[in-house]
Amino acid sequence: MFKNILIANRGEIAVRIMRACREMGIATVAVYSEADASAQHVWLADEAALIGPAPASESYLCIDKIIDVANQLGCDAIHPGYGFLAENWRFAEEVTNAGITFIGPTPETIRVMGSKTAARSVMQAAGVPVVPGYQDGGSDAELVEAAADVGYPLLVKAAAGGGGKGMRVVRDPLDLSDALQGARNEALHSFGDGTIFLERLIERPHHIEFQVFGDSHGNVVHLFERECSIQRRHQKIIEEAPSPLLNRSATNGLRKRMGEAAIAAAQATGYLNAGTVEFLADDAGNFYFLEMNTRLQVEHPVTECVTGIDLVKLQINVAAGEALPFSQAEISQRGHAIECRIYAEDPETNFMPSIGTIHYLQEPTGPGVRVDSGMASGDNVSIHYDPMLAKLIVSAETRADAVDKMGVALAEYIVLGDIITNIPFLRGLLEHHVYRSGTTTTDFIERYMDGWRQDSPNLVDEILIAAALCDFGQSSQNGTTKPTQEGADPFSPWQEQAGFRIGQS
Amino acid sequence: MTIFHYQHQDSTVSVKIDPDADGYQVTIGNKTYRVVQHNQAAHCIDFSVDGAYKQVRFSSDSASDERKMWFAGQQWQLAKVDPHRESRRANAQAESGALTASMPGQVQEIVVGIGSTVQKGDTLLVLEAMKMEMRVNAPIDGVVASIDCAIGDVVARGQALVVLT
Repeated sequence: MFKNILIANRGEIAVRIMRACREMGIATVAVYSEADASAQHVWLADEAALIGPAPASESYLCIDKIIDVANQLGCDAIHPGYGFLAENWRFAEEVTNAGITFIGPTPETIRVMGSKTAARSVMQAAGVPVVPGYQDGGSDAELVEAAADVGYPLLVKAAAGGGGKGMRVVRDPLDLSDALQGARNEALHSFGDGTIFLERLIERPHHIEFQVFGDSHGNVVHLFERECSIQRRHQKIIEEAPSPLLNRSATNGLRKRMGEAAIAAAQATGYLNAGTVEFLADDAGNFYFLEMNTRLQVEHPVTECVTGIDLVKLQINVAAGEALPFSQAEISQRGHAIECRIYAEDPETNFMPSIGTIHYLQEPTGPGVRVDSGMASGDNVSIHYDPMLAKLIVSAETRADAVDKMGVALAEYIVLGDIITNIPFLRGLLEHHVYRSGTTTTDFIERYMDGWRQDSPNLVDEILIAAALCDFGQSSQNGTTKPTQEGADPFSPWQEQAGFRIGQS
Repeated sequence: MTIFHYQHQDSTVSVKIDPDADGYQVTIGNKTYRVVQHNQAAHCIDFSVDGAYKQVRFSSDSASDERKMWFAGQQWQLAKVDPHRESRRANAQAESGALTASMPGQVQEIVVGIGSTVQKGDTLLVLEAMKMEMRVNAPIDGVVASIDCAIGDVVARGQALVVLT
């Protein structure tokens, strides 16, 4: 087993991974940028190394600096988390070449799956259904001709794409040329690779993904699905397991067919460690391979909640050469889990990021409530990194119970400061009857939440009383009355002048 | 006896607070409450109102006398105001064709120069923050009178970027 793992990440996922390491008795090394000098992941690590200024391109994305730290501090493995270098095959390769174990798939798997077109070819060869499309390149004239076969409406996508960048929806063949040009430019600008391909647009799909796991002994299993149909700007904000669609489709065996396809997809790439096979599924029982994510997903906790398996510990064990400790037949789903991503963003202005200091943070707790967080009171949300503050995960026996539990937990989530969060939006969303019915598709937010405005609650007297108490306390401090120490608790035993001793009556 | 005035959205409310033996009489409108304060820390205040226990959480911006406050799952923004002083918060910028950043970010590109004639909808500059790119477009036809930012600047939400005349 490893003795010392470097976590090449920040925020909640770095904290999550460090906790798993601690439970396993493995020492941890954090890397951090100048902006993160007092961040939670730095406090939690056994050792921490500054690797550069705030911009990720000068810190968290610097392969050489991270490997240098790992060498200097004697790390025997590196966990990349998600984002940053997690799906950079060169990073995986250089880590391996430095004699350090990369906790994840092989560089070759990452490289192949990193190209959407190469991944489509591998999946087609393995008999995994892919979205009908055209990926053989060619001139614009050839693409226009191919588009007629693909059929409209269609999507022009970047082979190296992600997060909706380099993607265009085309409903009218007359718009295709412009879309090809636009997508190509955007792809070149964002990813340095202008390769584009065509896919038929699956209207109103469900986003359903399967967690897969492979070990170095040739075993591959899936750990069932997550449904992630609630998205804004092509990024997920709520995920759940099991999938309401697959629960409804139990009779046509959709879950079983998709699970088998996920295994076939993983086997086709000789998959090692944790990965996710993403599919689009429709109400008619069709499903199509979308892409494979060669890393731990943001939404992995919902799978942990319903399967009872700690995916990070499993990643570490498998990377250390151990065999998967269970067979497919031994894995089952139980209950229902939902995750909400807590973002510093303004849902009223197209989810634009919001930055500033969090003056006071109190995260919810209680039975079945889990918060994966990397923030604390006083922390600053900067423009340099993803604005996700934390993930709130609840689990309960049924979906309805889990939705109710999430509503209560969100109501108890207190974030006060300069930033705006999406918490009120999430609360509004959870109340929506379509969400409650579990029939949501990826257009849910555009279709049902467009123009959402936060209700401003009527002012209640408790707020005014609290404000007056604060201001009265302040004015009497500034005035002639005897000053009282700020924060002094008159009921604290430390204020007692009597000879009180703990453990004595 | 002290009276505080609080502004919430467009209305102002007066709160009268009067200390007595072990607490306060607090009067809001025609209602008077018996209030006992139990505890106060940097962002937390615990008190009882007519015997019922309440917890309020808040963060203060001492510069502007504004507080963000949380109680029972809801948030409010409250500003302490002095009714004898005219509010100086009139938005002078909004009248002058000044364009402000609608999100915090880094100035990625400045498309226009001082003196450029622009038409409504033309892109003036591009901001980028946390995976998002935002084009700042001209809201009116006009001429660029000044550019108050440079490429690479990190700008705050509401900060002036360009003035059109």
